[in-house]
Amino acid sequence: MTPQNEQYERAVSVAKRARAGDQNAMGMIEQIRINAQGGNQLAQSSHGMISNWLKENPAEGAPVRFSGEVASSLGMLKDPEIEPEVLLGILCGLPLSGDMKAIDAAICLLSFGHPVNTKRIGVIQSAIPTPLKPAFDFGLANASDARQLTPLGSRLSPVEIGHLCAGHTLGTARRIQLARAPGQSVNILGADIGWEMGC
Amino acid sequence: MIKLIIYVGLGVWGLRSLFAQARPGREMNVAQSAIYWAALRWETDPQKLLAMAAVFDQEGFTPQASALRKRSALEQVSHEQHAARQAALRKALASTDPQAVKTLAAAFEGEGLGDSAQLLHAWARGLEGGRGVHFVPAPPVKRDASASGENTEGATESPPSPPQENIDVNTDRGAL
Repeated sequence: MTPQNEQYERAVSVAKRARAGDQNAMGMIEQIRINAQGGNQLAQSSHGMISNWLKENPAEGAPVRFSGEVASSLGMLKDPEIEPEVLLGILCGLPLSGDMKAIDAAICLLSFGHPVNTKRIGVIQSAIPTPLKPAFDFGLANASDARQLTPLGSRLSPVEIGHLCAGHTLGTARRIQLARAPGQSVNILGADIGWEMGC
Repeated sequence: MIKLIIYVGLGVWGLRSLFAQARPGREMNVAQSAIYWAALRWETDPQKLLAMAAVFDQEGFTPQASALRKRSALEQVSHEQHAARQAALRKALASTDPQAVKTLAAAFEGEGLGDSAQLLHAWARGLEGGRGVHFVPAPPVKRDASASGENTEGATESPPSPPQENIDVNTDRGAL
């Protein structure tokens, strides 16, 4: 086992104990935090691992809370009269919030809203500046395909990532709406899911 | 065929190295988890899946090994069983109960349906996130009336939003 893996396992162990109410573990996390603030690199990376694990593994039943700006943006997705420019702006800004759950929530809210059909997507596409259209279209065509989308993260500018994400979010919401329709093949959700479901 | 055997052999050797210090009952580390999920989501070659399952099994990751074995046999699943799974997936994607969705995701993972399980996990996260989101009226877009050819004052304002209907994810549409 590499030192990084060992450090990660210890960090997760402390986080789990603290979550379970172990006061010694809570004290250790506090000490790690103090050391991290003091510039100790090992403590800094351990503190990051603990924070990430706690964020990625919320306690059962714990409500998800978004920051004020993200919550407000997501709330606008519930407005049936939202204009395409506003919708696009919100979706492009979600990756910058740093909270990936906001993207999942946006997909969920959109999929329960008005149909995300070709006409609606076309109106949104018409509001996108030409240089950013390829990023949006790629996200739309490869919505929810992590193998296609994830590698692009390091190659695109933040603005392009925003449009890629907007395409992915709208595309996924559209696919979910279509998959709910009776008689529609779940293959619409992606080729890998289609294979698993025997389509 | 020889190439395939070599690749599978190298893969198994690599996994053995990775698991060299793993102990039964322990959780997978980051690298092990990444390999497991990549195989469970995207690998479709039964031989590779069985080879990986053997390594996971040997190192004490029995549920994961079982899931990989079941994935290796997905092509032999009956039409009726596929249809039942499709119906369950559809129902989950119309559900607003994150716990029920998570339960189905875990069941799908156990059956070797990794990509479907990941979709449902994301759906459950979205439902949980959407629960705390309250309606906010979206601002109107200021448009240049002369550019659009429209002529009226106040044309820049959108009509008032009607009451929100049918889009509240808090509304229970029925559990799985």
